[in-house]
Amino acid sequence: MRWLLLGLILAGNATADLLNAAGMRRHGEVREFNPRAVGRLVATVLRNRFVLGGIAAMTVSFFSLLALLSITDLSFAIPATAATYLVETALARLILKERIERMRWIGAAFVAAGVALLML
Amino acid sequence: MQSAVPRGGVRTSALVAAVVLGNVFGNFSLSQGMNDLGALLTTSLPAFLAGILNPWVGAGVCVLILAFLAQLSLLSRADLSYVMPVTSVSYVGTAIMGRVFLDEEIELTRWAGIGLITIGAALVGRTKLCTTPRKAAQEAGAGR
Repeated sequence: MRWLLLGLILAGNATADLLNAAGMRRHGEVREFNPRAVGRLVATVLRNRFVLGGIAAMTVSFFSLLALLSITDLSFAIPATAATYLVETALARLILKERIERMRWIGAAFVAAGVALLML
Repeated sequence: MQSAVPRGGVRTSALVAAVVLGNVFGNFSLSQGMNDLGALLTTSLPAFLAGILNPWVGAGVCVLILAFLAQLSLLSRADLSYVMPVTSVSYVGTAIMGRVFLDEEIELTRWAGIGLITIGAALVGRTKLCTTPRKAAQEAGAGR
């Protein structure tokens, strides 16, 4: 059961982050962080279809995480979800057309190795 | 006006810190609450929803919402392939919180994995913040 929940968390996270990144790219750069600006940010992103889709995907991931935390350790549940980072680096290049330089790939490889150790 | 220029500085660092700390404390609080409740997979949906009313779970949700807003702000100025690895250092904090406060066992291989993830995050942190064109500012918070 914990591996099924982990799969749901990974798929939900990757979908959510791609949609959120696409949504915030269209939204434009956020520069102010006082309470009023944060309130306006919330109001604006709640009308952003990409971010709303991302929140829906996050909801699936969140409830899967809650269920996973109820049957396994925090130190398994959270680090095990790190596989999302590998998938997202590739998807960011393929879908979001980000230019991923060598250092970023090497960093992603370190993260991949770390995930492999966490899964042992 | 488009801005593909890498943008570093205090605010980006502060956003990274907010995402990391928010995730660490939010997940710790959630875990504390779920430990109090026991295994939800064997209970009914109402019991599952009632779990959200647990103070630890409620606090965790609030902190994670703030961390999410910080992450959205970060994504508005940086690549996804930059943001995700850089903020992954929250695993270190999460593991330490679990070990210290929840008395969870962390094997040596898991510590090694967490160490590698940290190095990976640091390497990505040395790369350009943003490689894609995007708006320089927007109406919700660009008024200065």
